[in-house]
Amino acid sequence: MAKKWHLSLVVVCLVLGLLLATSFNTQERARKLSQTPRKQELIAKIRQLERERDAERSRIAELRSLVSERETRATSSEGNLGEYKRDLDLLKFEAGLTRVKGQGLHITLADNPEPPKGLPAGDVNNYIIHDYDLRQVVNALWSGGAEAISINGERLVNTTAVRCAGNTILVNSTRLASPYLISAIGDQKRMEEALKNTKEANNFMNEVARTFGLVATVERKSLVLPSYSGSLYFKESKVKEGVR
Amino acid sequence: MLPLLGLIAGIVLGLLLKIPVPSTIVKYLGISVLAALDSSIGGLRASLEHKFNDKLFITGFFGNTLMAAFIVFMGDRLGIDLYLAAVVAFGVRLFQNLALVRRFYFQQRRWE
Repeated sequence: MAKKWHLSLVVVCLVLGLLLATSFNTQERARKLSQTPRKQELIAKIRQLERERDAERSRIAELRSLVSERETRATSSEGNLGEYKRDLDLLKFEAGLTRVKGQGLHITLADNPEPPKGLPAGDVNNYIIHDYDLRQVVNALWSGGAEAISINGERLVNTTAVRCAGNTILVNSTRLASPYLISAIGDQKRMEEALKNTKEANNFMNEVARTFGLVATVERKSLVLPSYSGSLYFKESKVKEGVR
Repeated sequence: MLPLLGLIAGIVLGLLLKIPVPSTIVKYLGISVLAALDSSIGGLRASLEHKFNDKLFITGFFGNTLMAAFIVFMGDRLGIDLYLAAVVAFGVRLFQNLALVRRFYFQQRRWE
């Protein structure tokens, strides 16, 4: 009898302890969550992920330089590979994986730090640069025969998107903020004309910028553009054999 | 002695396992804990009164714990704040039982 009595108490006490501890844990977590506001937590998380991304990027750069070093060594030891190496270099250059230099246009776009006079101060959206503004300028530059474009050191390649994320603009999943420095290598005269002749870009560069006090300047310059530093990861697409 | 070990083992287990509890269930967990505490103290009182019944205790403990959560849940569904009723009912009984346990203890030691 005494043994049985004990057993039931043990079971009950075990469950009671379990309930108490779980309740305590839950409450503790809720307290911690309310102490660090969700916003702060998310900001910290973003910072951490960006640090990780930067680390991965430098690793990519490291590996790419290792690969090209190996390529050079392989081609120098085996002469018949030289032709392939030249093809490869050309393809890399065309894909935006090399640094490039040349004459081009340097465009500076910047937000108006204060609300323009004579307009309601409330809406910040009125006097900042938006993702679509950047897209219009970039598209005008491509149409004007630009060969390579970068925005704030982010090289535009065939998978690049310029999109809005909160109050920053994402290019190659890197957050950019005003001022936006667009560098485009290509025929300077043709690109200038394209900026003037493309309706949206012209409208933005002149009228919109003047009305809302945005900075929008274009200058001819000799430029050096960085290589694309993101990953090249094709998971779903496969090479279609046969007709090229 | 053994029940105390069980209690400690339960607490340690709970702290280590870190069972994730969805925020919607936290309220019911709280009331369950209160009901469980009430039952345990009630058991203690019964044992001091030499009225302790093993089966009554076990069924009371689990029954009360589950029913408390269920009644509060039903109250939420029906728009009645049964949570308060449960807290008051269990709370009052908890303190009453504690007072009785204390009294029995004093009587046993003949401090009165």
